[in-house]
Amino acid sequence: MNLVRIFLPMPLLASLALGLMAAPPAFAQVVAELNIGTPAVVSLKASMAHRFAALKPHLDKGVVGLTHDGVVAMRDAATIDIKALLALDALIGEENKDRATLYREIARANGHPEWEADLRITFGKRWINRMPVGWFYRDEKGQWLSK
Amino acid sequence: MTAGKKTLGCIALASFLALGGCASTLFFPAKPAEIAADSLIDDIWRDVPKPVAVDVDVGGKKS
Repeated sequence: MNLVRIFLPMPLLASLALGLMAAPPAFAQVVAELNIGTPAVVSLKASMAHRFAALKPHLDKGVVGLTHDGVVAMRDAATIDIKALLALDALIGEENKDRATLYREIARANGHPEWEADLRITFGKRWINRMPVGWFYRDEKGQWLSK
Repeated sequence: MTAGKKTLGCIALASFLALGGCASTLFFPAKPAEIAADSLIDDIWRDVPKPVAVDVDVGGKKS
C-alpha cells in the first residue's frame, strides 16, 4: 500500500518535470532578441530624438528628471516663468505619450502585449543608468535623487 | 487501468501542456529587453556620452 502511495503520483511529478524542462527552450526561442525595428518604433525613436534637443537643457538644469517607471517628470519649476513652464509641460506630455506608445509598441511587435509593464520598468532602469552624472531621477519611493 | 490512474494521467497531461504552452508568457526576457533599451536610448540620446558602469538604486533592488 505504501508503495502504491509513493509510485502513484510519479506520472504527475514526471510530467511536471518535463514541463519545466520544456519551458526553457520555448523561452529562449522567444527572447533571443527583441524586435525594435518596426516602422512605428523607428518613427517614435526619431520623434523622441528630435524632441531630446529641447528637453536636454531642462534635464541638465534639473528642472526635469527621469522616473523609475520610464517617463520624464517636472522636478523643479521654480526657476522658469509661467510661459516657459506651460511650454515645458506640453513637451513633457508629448515625450511621455511617445514613451508609453514605445513600450506598448515593442510589446505588441514581439507578440506579447502583456510585457508592456515589464518593458516600462526595464526602460526606466536603463534610462537612469545611462543618464549623465548630475541629472535627477525619481525612485520608487517618490524621492528625487541626483546621479 | 483504475479510475484513479486515469485521473492522475489526465492531470499529468494537463500540467505538461499548461507548463509548456504558457512558458512564453510566464517569462519576461529581461536581458534582451535591456539590450533593446540600450540600443534605443543610444539612438535617442545621440550626443549624451555613454556612462561608465555605475549602479543606481532606483528602489528595491540594484539595477
